[in-house]
Amino acid sequence: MKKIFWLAVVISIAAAFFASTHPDGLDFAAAELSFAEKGQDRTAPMPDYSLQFLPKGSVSTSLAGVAGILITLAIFWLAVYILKEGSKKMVKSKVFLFLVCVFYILYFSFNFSPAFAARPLVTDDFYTVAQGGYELEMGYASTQNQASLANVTTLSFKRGFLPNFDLGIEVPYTSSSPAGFNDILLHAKYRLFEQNGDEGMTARVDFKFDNGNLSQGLGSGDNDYCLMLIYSKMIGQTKVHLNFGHVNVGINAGIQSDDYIAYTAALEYPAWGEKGDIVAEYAANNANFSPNPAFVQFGARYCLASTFKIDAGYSFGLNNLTLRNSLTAGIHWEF
Amino acid sequence: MHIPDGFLDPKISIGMTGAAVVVFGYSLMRVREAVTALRPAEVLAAAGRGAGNVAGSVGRVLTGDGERAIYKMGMVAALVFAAQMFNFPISQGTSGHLIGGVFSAVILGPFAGTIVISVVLAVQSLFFADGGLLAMGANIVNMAFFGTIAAYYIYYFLKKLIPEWMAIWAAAWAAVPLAAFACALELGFSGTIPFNQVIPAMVNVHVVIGVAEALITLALVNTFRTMLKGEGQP
Repeated sequence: MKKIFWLAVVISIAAAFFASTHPDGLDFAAAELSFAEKGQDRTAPMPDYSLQFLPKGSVSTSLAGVAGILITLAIFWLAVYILKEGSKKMVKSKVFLFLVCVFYILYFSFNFSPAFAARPLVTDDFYTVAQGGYELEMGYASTQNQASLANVTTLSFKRGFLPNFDLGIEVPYTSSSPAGFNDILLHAKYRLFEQNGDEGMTARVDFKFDNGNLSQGLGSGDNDYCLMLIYSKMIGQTKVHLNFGHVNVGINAGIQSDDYIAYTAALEYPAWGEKGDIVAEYAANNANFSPNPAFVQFGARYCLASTFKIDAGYSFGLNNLTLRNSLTAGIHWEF
Repeated sequence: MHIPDGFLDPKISIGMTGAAVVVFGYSLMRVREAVTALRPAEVLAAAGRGAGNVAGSVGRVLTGDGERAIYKMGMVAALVFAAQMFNFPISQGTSGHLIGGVFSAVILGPFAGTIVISVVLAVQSLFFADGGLLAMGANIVNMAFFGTIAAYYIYYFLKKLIPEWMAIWAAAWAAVPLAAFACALELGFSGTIPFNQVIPAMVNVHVVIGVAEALITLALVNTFRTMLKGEGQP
C-alpha cells in the first residue's frame, strides 16, 4: 500500500513539472465555440493546484498535489474510523475536532473579503465582518494604574454570519502578577442601516462572563450585559464613530455596583491613504463605581497586506480614578 | 472535463445534483454492504440489544477485509487524483488528462470505483477550484457514472469475448467520449451552446484523449496489480 502512496506522490510532483499547460478537452471546446467566458472563477484553498503563499510554479503545484493526495486519503481513513467506532464517537473525538478546525482554517483562510479594524480603539465602528469571513485580532496592552501594573494579551475572534451580522469572542489573559484569564466577552453585532459604505448604524450586544478569578484580582466579579448603539459617518476623509451604550452590571461575588452609561467617540484619518491611518478617541462613562474612567487614546494602524494590519496606541486617563497610562500594540487579520 | 460553474443552467445543475446523489448513495449502500458483515446475534444480545435490531444499522460491523478494501479505495483515489493532475498534450494546443473511472472500477468494482471518482471530484472542486460547486453533480454523473459504472459494464461484457487487456483498453477508450457526450448534452440542454456544435466538438477531441486514457489505464492496472501482488491481494 505504501508503494502506491509514493507512486501517487511521484506522479503528482512529476505532473507539476512536466504536465502540459494547454487547455483540456472541455476548455478547448469552450474556447473554440466561444462560451468559455460563461465560466465563473471561484476561490478555493488551493485554486489551480497552487499554494497561495508560494509564488506560482512547479514547487507550489507539487506541494498542492501532495496536499490533495493526503486530503483524499484522509477521507477514506475517516470512513474506516466511522464504520469502526460509530459516528457519534467520531464527532466527540478530538482528532475529528482537530480535522474540522484544520479544514475550516484551510478552507476559509483564503476566501477573504474586506472588513475593518477596530484595534487599537475601544470605540467600535458600524462595520460587521463580511458574511463567511473571519477576523482575528491579537493585542498586547501594558497598563499602569494608580496602584499597579497590568500586562494583558487579548485575543479576539469574529465571524460574519450574515452580510450585516457577526458574532465574536474576546479572551483577555493577564500575564503580569496575578496571572490568569480575565472575564471573557461575547458579542453580537447587527447592522441596522448603511449608506454608501460611509455612514451607518449598528447595534451591539455584549455579554461578559465572570470567569476571571476575582479573589486573585482578575476580572470584575460580575456578569455584565451591554447594549450599545454605534453610529459612524465619513466627514471628508475622516471617519467619525460614536458609541453609546447601556451597561447592566450584574451583582456577583458580593460587589455592589450599579448600571451605567458608557460613551465614546473616535476619529480615523487616513494619513497613509489606503495603507494606514491615525486614530484618536475619547471614552467616558457615568459609573459611580468606575471600572473604566475617562481616557484619551492616540494610535496608528498600518496595512502590511490587504488583510493584515499592525497597530499601536497610547492612552492616558483624564481623572484620578484608576488608569494612568497604557501602551498597546497588536495585529488584525481578516480571512 | 471538469465543468466550471456558469456553464450549466440552474435547472440542469439541480437535476444533475439529484442524479449524482442517487448514483453516489446507491454506490455507498452497495459498498457498505460489501465491507460490513452482520453482527452475530450473540454479540448483540451481550450488548443488550434484541434480535429485532439485527437488520438495523447497529447490526453491521466493518470486517477486516472490508477495512483493507477501504484503504485500497483510498490508495486508488490518491493515485487517480495524482494522475488527473498530469495533463498530456494532444494535437492543436489541447491537452487531456486521465479520468480514471475504468482503472478504479477494474481494480475495485464499479460501485467502489464510482465512490473513488466522486470523492476525487469533490476534493478537486472544494479544495482546488477545479470544477464548479453547483456543477459537481453534473461532473459526478459524467465521470463517476458514465465514465465509471457505464464504462465498467462495457469492460464486463467485452471481457467474455476478448482478452482482458483488450477489454480494459476498449472500455477506457470508450469511457472518455461517453463522458464527453454526456457533458455535451448537459451543455446543450442548458442552452449554453447548440447541440450540433458542442457534440462534435466535445466528442472529437475526447476520442483522441481516450486513446491516451486507455494506455494509461492499462499501465496503471498492471502497476497496481503488480505492486499489491506481494501483499496477498489481487
